Formats: sequence, C-alpha cells, structure tokens
Amino acid sequence: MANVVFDNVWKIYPDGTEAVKELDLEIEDGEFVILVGPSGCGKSTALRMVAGLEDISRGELRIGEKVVNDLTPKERDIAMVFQSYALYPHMSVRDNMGFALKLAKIDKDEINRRVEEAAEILDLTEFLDRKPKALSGGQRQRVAMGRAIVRNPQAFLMDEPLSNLDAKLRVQMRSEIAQLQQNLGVTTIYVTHDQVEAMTMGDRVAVLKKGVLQQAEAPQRLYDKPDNLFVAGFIGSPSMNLMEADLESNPGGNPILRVGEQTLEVPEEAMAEYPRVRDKVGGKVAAGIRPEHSFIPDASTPEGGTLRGDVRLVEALGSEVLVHVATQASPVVTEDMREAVDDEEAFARMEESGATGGMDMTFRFDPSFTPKVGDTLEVGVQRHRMHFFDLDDGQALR
Amino acid sequence: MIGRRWYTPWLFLLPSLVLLGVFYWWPVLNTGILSMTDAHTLRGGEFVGLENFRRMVDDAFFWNALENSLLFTVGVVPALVVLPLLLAVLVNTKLPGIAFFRTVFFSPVIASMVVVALIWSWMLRTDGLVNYVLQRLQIINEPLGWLSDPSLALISVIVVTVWKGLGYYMVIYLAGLQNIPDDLYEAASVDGAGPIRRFWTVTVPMMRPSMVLVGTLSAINAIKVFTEVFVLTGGGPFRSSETLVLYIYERGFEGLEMGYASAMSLSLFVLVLLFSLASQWITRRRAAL
Ligand SMILES: Nc1ncnc2c1ncn2[C@@H]1O[C@H](COP(=O)(O)OP(=O)(O)OP(=O)(O)O)[C@@H](O)[C@H]1O
Ligand SMILES: [Mg+2]
Repeated sequence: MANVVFDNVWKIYPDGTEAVKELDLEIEDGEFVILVGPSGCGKSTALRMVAGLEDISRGELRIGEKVVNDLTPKERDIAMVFQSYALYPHMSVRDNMGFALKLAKIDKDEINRRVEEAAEILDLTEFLDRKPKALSGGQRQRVAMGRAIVRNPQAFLMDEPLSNLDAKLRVQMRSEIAQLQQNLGVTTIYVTHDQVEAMTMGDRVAVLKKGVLQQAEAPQRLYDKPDNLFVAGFIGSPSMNLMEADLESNPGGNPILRVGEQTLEVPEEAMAEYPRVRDKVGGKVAAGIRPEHSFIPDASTPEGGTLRGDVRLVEALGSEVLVHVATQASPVVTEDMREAVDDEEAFARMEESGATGGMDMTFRFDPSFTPKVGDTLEVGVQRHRMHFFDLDDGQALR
Repeated sequence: MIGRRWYTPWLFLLPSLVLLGVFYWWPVLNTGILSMTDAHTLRGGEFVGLENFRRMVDDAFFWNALENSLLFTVGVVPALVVLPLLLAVLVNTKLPGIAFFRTVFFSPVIASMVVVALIWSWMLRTDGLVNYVLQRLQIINEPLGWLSDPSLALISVIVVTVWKGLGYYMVIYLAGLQNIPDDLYEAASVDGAGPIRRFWTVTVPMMRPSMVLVGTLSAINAIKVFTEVFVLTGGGPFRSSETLVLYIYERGFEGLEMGYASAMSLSLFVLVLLFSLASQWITRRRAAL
C-alpha cells in the first residue's frame, strides 16, 4: 500500500485537448478519494494516468514515493475496476480473479487460497467455476472487485464501477465497497459523477472542472464550505439555489440583498463567514441557499428573512417534499454554472428565465407540509447558512 | 392488412428464385442426373446407375487428385487462419501511415487471380526472379524448378494462394479486431500482461469466431481450387499438382465424359458440405460453452 501524489500533472492529448491541467493532489496511504465533476472534466484521464494507461504530458506522478511516469501498468502494481468490468469472457470467475496472480508467478495453492478468500468476502464462492456470461450484472461487478482485491495492490482505481447497475444494487454495492475499502485499507481513487456516491463513500472528494482541480475536501466540508460557485452548484442534489442579486448598503445594519421587490438581510454569522461581502456593497454578488436551509415562517420571522413566490411543482419523495417556487430572483448564468449544471437544456431554461426575470428555487420540507401548485408561498430562509460568491471570478467571498 | 394477397411475398421473391433456379438448382439437379449416365458432350447418355461412382473408386488419377486437393487444403488453411491474423494485429495499430500498409496488403485481393498467377509463374521459372534472389542471398546454390519439379509444384501453388488470400482474410480479421473492447486490453495490462500475453489472452479468444469463419471460407475455397493451379502448373508436372476440380475439368471438358465428371463433382459437393457442417458444429459447440 502506498500514497499517490499528483505533482503538477498535465495531460494534453495529441489533438491538443488539455484534459488535465496542473493537477496537484496528494492521496494518503489508505485514503479513499473520490474524483467527481461533470462529463468530460478529465476524471477518467486522471485515473488512467495513475494506472499507466495514458502517458503523463507534464509533471510527476508518484506512487509510494516512487516516480512512476515512465513505468508500465504492470510495474506500477495497481488494480483497476472498469465501468464495463472488462472481465475476460472465456475465463471462469476463478481464472478471471487469479489471472494477475498467475502472471505474477505466484504458486497455484496460494492463488487458489486468495481467490477463494476474496470470493468468500464477495459472496461469489458458488459462481467460481462459471463464465462471466452466466452472471448477473451485480455478480459481474463483484468479480471485477474480486479481481482487484486478490492482488493486494498499492492502490485501487475505480472508474464509475457502479454506473451499470440498477438503483437498488447500486445502493447496496456502494456501502459494500466503502466497507471493503475500510477493512482492506488500500489507497483508493474512485471516479464517479453520482452525487450520492461522492458524498457517502470517500474520505475526501476532489472536484474537477475542465481538467482543473477546484477543491479537495472531506465531503461534509465540501458541502458546507464550497470554495467557488462551481463547487457550490455542482455538489448537492437538488443543487443549491444560486441567484444573482444586488447588494445594498443598510445604514446601521448589515448589507441587504435585493430580490425583486423583496429583500434579504445578510446576518452577522454570514458576514463573519464571508467578510469580503462588505467590499461588494453597491454591486452584485452570487448568493446561494441550499434547498434544506428553509423553513415555514411564523409570526417571529423577521422582515427581510423570507422569499415569496408561486408554487410551481411539488415533489413528494416520501421522506421529504421538494417544493419548486417561482421567485423574483435572477439565476446566476455564468460559465461556472453552465459547467455545474452539466445539462445544456436545463441551462438554456435558466438563461431564459434569467432574461424574463424570476427563477425557480427548490426548497426541501418535512413531508407533512403539502402546499398546492399555484399557491403563493412565503418561505423562510436560514440566512446565516447562505453562501456568497464573486460573480466575476466565482470565488467565495471569504 | 389492406389488400394483402397470399402471393404478394412470392412476387417479391420471384426474380431471385428464377435466377437461382435456372443457374443454380437446375444445374445441380442436372449434375445429379448426369452422374448416373454415361453422357458425353456430343451425345446423350444411357442410365448406368452407380457405375460412375464405382469407376471413381478404381481410378488412380481420381485418388491422386483427391489427395492433392486435401494436401493443398491442409497446406493453405492453417496459413490463412494464422498469418492474416498476425498481419491484422500489426496493421491495426495507430502508427502514422499505417493506412498505407493496410492498402498494400489488401491490393492482391483486387488483382485478378489469373494475372497474379501469371506473374508468379514468371517469377517462379527456373530463370525467374525468385531463383535469382535466393541465389543472390546464397540461400540456394542451384536454381530450383518451383513449378517444374514434381516435389515442389504443389508447394509453390500453396504459397501463391496464401499470398493472394492474405489481404482478404486480413480484412475479415480487422473487422473482428475493431469489436474487441479496448478495456479488455487495458485490464490485461493492469493485470500485468505484456503484448504477447495480451495477444493470447484477449485477441485470440475474442477472435475465435472470426478464425472459425476464416478457416471455413479458406477450406471451402481450397477444396474448390482451380484457377491458381490451372494457370501456374496446369496440374503438372506428371499430375503432381492436379487437384480435384482440375481433374473434373480434364475429364469433362477435354475427355468430354460429362457423366463421369458430374459424378466427381457430386463427391466434391459432399466434401464441401462436410466442411461446412464441421465448422457449424464447432461454432455451435463454442457457443454452448
Ligand atoms: N484519446 C483522446 N484524445 C483526445 N481527447 C480526449 C481523448 N480522451 C479523452 N479526451 C478528452 O479529454 C477530456 C476528458 O476526458 P475524460 O474521459 O477524462 O472525461 P471524464 O471526466 O471521465 O468524463 P465522463 O464523466 O464522461 O466519463 C474530454 O474533453 C475528452 O473529450
Ligand atoms: Mg470517464
């Protein structure tokens, strides 16, 4: 086992595509790091550079303090789980799992022992003599995992290993993989674009945008303290409500956000968290509210603490209800958001609603709350948990 | 459905059924009938029952031709299964200018067999290019009679046939290679397999269906071989390279013994049928595994 260090690593494909740019990331020995980001941001490329399947254009990659830039995959001693599983179709499960060991000239009994042990862990014992074709998707996925764990390698690399499974199996495998990794303690890099996988599986999440690392932090911290607009918009599902708003001065108080006819006063806690907000008074900022940071206002809710709008859509999910409210706020339609939304159509709708004024915000409530479509709703905002970003460079106004 | 009559599908099938009937099934049927007569080209035949088949058993030239055909097949098929695969793997790389080599290797396929065979027959003459080069390289001391030495003639024909077929089967393999997912190779690399190991653990098993196909096609073509032998050696010297079709041709069109030639054709047909059945059986057994 070993640490994996990206030291100013670049990947420039022969056609000039800069898939990964000056990546600096240290993955500690035994750590489970998730790489997330929109499609095409360079996650797979970064992973494949560790595996030795792509050349490194610039910079240095170290596994266990050893520079591996020029080593073949074989010499790097890493194991990889592919999205397609890439099982050898003509080999039995046993041979698939033992293949790497056989190539490493480990003796037969030892191979058998390790394969059977792994099969035991993964519940594959009864399938050891089957061909991959005769297995279900979930079983194939486990064989792919087994092929990696019998190796006892320096690191595991996994590229969207669960994306071909149905939702239920995905939930199950998610926790199994996380647990397995914890028990084995093998350094793991895991690529996904699934929000839940990113938030729940790893010790740390590294967010990439267009080949550039945005932030690498423990999941909860990433969620609570996004460094920039892109991370704020990308992490979380449903995503953070991000609006573009004028920041007005308020003699004798904290600045005030203008949202159409309504205002939101920036509370003291938020000012402490985002001190640079003060520099933006008189200009515009991007302000963010997570869907769950809302409440049903009552008599004690102060003026300047709510947003009003018509209910557009109510999604009752059983454990919670998501209410989409048409507010007078303007959406943030910068390049960061285009990337974070990662859906051209949805982004076009945002741009459109921005032009006509007004955006839909999503709020999360207890399922006992059941507003009707068309109702005018006053939503309380937990303003102390709001986020503020510079509209020009997207950075948090910390 | 509106206005659908029972004969509508048959109308669509009619043109090809007519063509197949006139140019395929009728001749086949006729061959069957002729094989039981002593028909000559210039006179109709009497029914002779299985006499022609009995004659085959006693005909040393028939057995010689059959043996040559089988030798030819045994020589050609393994080479045409293996060599084009290696070639396909080589030209399937992403090296710059590789398209040029693909074209070069394919070009013999579009050339006419007669032309190819003629050119080779010049090159293989005692005073031809092949002997000249081999002598220059001091691989041989005396010029060899590639086409005139009874012990070499069949081998020479085999070499030319393989050379001509390489490109064709290479293209079949190339199509198969495109269907092998890259990540199988990548998984093998990560598992610690070098290029040769990857060839054996990924390429060969994944190409098995293509190899069975190439084996079948080349075997059927080999057992039916005519042009190559006809132009290069004419079956000689001393019938040392005379294959079955050549002998059938000789009996039927030179000896004018249509009845006997038909009987031999029928036995050739059975042989080809056996090859196809065998290959189908192999494919099915593979699929069942
Ligand atoms: N062989 C290649 N040649 C040129 N460009 C490439 C090549 N492979 C990938 N790219 C480009 O590099 C960028 C990153 O690709 P990569 O596959 O790493 O994305 P990803 O983050 O894994 O996306 P996804 O979530 O869709 O799998 C993309 O813009 C892609 O088009
Ligand atoms: Mg990818």
